[in-house]
This record gives sequence, structure tokens and C-alpha cells, in this order.
Amino acid sequence: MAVMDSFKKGSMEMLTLLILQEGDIHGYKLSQTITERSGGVLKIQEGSLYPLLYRMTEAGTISCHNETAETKFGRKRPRVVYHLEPKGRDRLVMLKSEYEKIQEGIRDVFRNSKEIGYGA
Amino acid sequence: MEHNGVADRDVKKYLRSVKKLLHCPRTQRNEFLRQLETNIYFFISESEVEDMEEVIKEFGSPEEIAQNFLDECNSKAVSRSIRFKQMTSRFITAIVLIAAIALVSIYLIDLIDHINYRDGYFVDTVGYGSPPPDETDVVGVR
Repeated sequence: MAVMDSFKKGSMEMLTLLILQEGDIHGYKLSQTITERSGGVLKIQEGSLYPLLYRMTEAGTISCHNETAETKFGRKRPRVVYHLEPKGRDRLVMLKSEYEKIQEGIRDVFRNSKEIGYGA
Repeated sequence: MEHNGVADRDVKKYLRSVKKLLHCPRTQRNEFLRQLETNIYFFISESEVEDMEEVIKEFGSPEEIAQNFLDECNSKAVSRSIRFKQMTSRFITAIVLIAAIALVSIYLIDLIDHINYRDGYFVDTVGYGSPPPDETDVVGVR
């Protein structure tokens, strides 16, 4: 369970850094972008996204600032915008390489295992 | 004040509930709550939510959000904060206990003096190492 949790956390952090690489973004848009790009498979709840963003800000991989923006209903509201820091780029490289290793490892396990049909 | 049908007091109540569950250093807690508040209000303005239920559905219950925060938070900082709170409460308990003992002692000394005086002897004691009192200093002797 702990491995799965850390894998999930690491993946969420990696996806966040990946999206932030394209430019500054606010939290709500970030979660929407991940959901859209995953074809609706990955739905990140805001309740787990903001603690993650806060931890990443504390770690210095990203930074944040407030800006006033117009909502789609034409009202002006402050929002927190997140920005990728150089430390975050290094972290992304590291997370990507770890992710590729894990993916490869899982693929190898599948390749070297006999598939047993459920009907057998 | 209402934002898209969500009352300000409901958002504040939600944030207060989260705050109560965040056992971490105050600076971290306040900064996180400040960001969370801005994000909630922006979400309310940007989406078409009509009540607080929808906000909770999106952000999670206060317990969930606090748990996620504490999971993400530096565990050392959290345990340091809990330790600090425990030490503070022990320190306050000790101060209260010492004050209570001092008050009871003062009351007992006063009571003993009062009883002695009633019996016709009242000797004002002088601190240890002081020169013996002059006979004229002894009061209350019949």
C-alpha cells in the first residue's frame, strides 16, 4: 500500500511538473488539464492537489504568486498561479527517469510471466 | 455575502474545520489555508457551483484535505509541532500546579499564624540566618 501511495504521489508530482513546464498555471486549470489530457482517466481531486502544490512550493521546485484574473463569468477574482523553478526541472528529469525504470520493470515482469486465462 | 449561491460563512466554516485538523507549525498552516481559501473562491467563481456540497465534493471533506496535507507535510516538522504543543501544555500545567501549591502554603501559614495568635502567642518569624530579634520586636505577648 505504501509503495502504491508513493507511486501515486510521485506520478502526480511528475504530471504537475510536466504541465508547469509549458507555462504558469493556476490550480483549478492544472487539474482540468490533467483530466483532459488523460482522456478523463486521471481525475485529481483538488483536496489532494493543493497539499501537493503546497509541499512542492515548500521544497522550492515550484513557486506561487497571487494575481487577479477575470473569471469566465466576467468577475475579477484573485487566484494562485504556480510557476516551475529550475529545481523543479531537475526534479522532473529525475522523476521521469524513475517512472521509465518502473514502467520497464513492470513490462519485464509481464513479459516473463505466463498469462493464465480466467476461464482455464 | 454570497458567491454563486455559496455563502461566505459556509466557506469560512469549512476552512475553520480544516484548520482545527492541521497539527503542524502555524506558519505552514496559515500559508496553506491562505492558498486554499483563494483557490476555493476562484473555483466557486469559475465553475457553476450552487452550494457548499459541490465545493466539498471537489475539494474533499475537511478530514480528507487535512489528512492529505499532513501526508504531504514534512513529518519531522509535524512531530516537532506536536512535541512543542505537548511541552507547552506541560509547562502551563506545571505553572498552575506551582501557583496552587504556593497559594495553599500561604493559606496554611496564615492559618497557623492565626491559630497561634488566638492562643496568645504570635511570634513573627524572621528569615534563616538573620540576627535574633530584639525582645521589643516580639509582638502579641501578654
